[in-house]
Amino acid sequence: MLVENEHFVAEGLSIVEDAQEQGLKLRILGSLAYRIHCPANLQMFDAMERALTDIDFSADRRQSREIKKFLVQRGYEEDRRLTASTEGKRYYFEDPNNGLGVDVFYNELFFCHKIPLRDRLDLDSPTITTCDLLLEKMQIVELNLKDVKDTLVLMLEHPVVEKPTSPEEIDGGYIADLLSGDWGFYYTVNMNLDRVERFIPDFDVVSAEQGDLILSRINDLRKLIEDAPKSRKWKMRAKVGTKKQWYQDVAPKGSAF
Amino acid sequence: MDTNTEATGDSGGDRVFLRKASGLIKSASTTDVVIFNIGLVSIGIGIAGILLYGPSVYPGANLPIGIIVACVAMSMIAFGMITWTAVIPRSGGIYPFVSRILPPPIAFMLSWAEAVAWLFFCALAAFWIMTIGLIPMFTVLGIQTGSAALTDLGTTLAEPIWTFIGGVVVLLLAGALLSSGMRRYFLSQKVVITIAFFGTLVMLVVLLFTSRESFIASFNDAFGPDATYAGVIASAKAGGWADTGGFDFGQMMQASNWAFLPLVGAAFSIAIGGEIKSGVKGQTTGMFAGIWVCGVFFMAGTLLGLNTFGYDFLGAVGYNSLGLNADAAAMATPVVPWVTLLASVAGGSSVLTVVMSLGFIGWIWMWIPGMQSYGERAMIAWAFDRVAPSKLGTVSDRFHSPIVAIGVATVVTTIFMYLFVYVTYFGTLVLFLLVGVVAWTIALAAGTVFPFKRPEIYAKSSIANRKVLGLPIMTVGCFLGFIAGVGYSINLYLDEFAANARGSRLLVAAGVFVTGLLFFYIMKMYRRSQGVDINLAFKEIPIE
Repeated sequence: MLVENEHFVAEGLSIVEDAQEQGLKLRILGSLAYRIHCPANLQMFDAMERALTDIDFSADRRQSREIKKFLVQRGYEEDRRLTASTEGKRYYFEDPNNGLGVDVFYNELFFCHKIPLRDRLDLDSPTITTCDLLLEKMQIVELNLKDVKDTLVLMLEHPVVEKPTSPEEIDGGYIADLLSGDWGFYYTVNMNLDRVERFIPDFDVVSAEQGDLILSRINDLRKLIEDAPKSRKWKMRAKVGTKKQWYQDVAPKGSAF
Repeated sequence: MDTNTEATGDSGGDRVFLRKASGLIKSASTTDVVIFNIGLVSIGIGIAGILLYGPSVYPGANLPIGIIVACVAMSMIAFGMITWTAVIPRSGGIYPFVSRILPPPIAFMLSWAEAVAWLFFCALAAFWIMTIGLIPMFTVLGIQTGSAALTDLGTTLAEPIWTFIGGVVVLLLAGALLSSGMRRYFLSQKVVITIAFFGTLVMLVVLLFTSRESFIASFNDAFGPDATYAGVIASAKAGGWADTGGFDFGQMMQASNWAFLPLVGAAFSIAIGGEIKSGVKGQTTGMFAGIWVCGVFFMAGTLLGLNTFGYDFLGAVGYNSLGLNADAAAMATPVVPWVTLLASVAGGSSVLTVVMSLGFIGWIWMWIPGMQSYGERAMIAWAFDRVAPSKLGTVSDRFHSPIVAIGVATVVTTIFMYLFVYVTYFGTLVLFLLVGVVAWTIALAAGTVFPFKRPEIYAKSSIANRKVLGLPIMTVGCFLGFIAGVGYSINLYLDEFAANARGSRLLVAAGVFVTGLLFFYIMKMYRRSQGVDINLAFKEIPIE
């Protein structure tokens, strides 16, 4: 069974390639990136009915003008209300012919927690790195089933290592380093790793052997995170704990104007 | 990112969430909204206006009761505005509200009128930073330190060209701040309000610990023999000022205009309604905190001011300095006797003078980027509905902010600044407040029927099921706000000093509304030539 909107993958890859020819760095993230980075387990996305809904990119804000021009030339129309609402931190485009939406996040992905991306765009292509893909899901406080599915497949296909030697390895050292300075992010990631672990048996499509592999990788990541020395700011914030909100609120997507 | 709806899952008691979309990060926290509104009330301006104009222009007015009346009335208006923001949580002032219920030309005209009014006060604040902030500060510092250089600086800044240049620099700074993004603006407001509150608290402490006798001695020492405490009172009484004694309701109500004027700012968060993280909670906290925190400070400043300076003196010194005394030779202070000047005299210290003056300047500054952003957001909202040039809604790819709207607002306020400095008549147009209040009152009237006229929008709001006396809460809230708005519109109209809505001034006010109508019809014709019907934009249901 083919997943809904499978053709988005081809369009996403085509956008990255054509942009690259013009010197523009666009990297795919979101569900599309998971599919691209997990070719050995595509059947799992299909079995879990993981539909594609739009195409998300990360980019360097210094290229925002050129990227807008590039996408408009491809027939996409900018949602100017959203641009104004985000003060240009995020652009949304839509193809008026088929309704395909394209989100472009500049420099960082900052919902519940901040994931810096601008200086990491060269580390992988056509997607952001596997570790940033994992963080993209793990920063969500209100994790949903789609996020759990994506995380399970990603961790099934990619080992977690402290110092990666290939883009296929999840850079656990980087994640541990990032979280060692931000207790709130650390807390959310751990909360979500626990959630993902508890959901492993719920998916019939994940065999016991695969479940064990995912769990071992979750534990590898936990160990790296725990072993990393924590900053003074982290320790001070840890004392306050969850008595104070540790993440940024995310409102429903919509226009401010 | 994803926009699908997902069923809630459960694994061993663990829960995952329904999340329909990738979401949006809004820039204003509840704290930001509270600061935004308190800043746009401006505690300093409020206390200064009440003490300068209250006893001098409305002798016999009971100022504390006037403050309470203004706070209650503004709370009623805020109630109505909160219900509007709950139903249509968008930025742009009253425009997103009225544009979804009133005929398009009327809706645009009201939004235009309020935007012009608030940009007028933005420019007025820049003018005040020079004329009642920096110039008196340097003048008093010159006297206190015996520095001719400081006195000369005050004198130089008082020259029209330097007042204009200084004001324009202030407006440009505000524009630059807004261009750097709302997060940076909110951060800067936290710094400024800290300075402003500190200055005000210092002033209150100075007033608390200065006896009447001590103030009289300090005043006579600073300004005598040209102006003495007793001489000021005597010359004012000789020139016609008199405390009527007893309780004068009419005088009290008119004096309350000077509390109401700044308190209007407590509902200015409707300008950023779409950018507030906690929505209704943020708006409710922001507006009521804006009204009542400021009301408490107004009350404290007024009571302490009356106690230290004396009602008769405040009335007399204002009466003589504002040119109300027929005798041009009546004793007065060398510059307008704002409370900062009198408190500086009471404090008797150049350090205290600087702290109190900077606090006062901080309060005035908070009006400037806040009101400028109000005008900008209205322009952006117009642009998206195509009733203004589309460029106004454009976010600059270079600066990542609505630089065109910010630029237009800065140019408009610079023109107003020029008029303040060089056209005396323009400085008397405080009735622009009446323009803004009338626009809001009509918006509140529209709100009373909104749940019945646009039930499809109202039903989707968070307050759809909330009733008061069997009526939709929006109908009740907006009706109360409408009553308060009508009351203060009449109060301002009757106040010949505050609004002075007479003769040509009334024509200017009417002209603001008429130019809005003209602009709408010009844009409508222009859009029609492009094959666009702007009436359709007004029929859109707001995106939630």
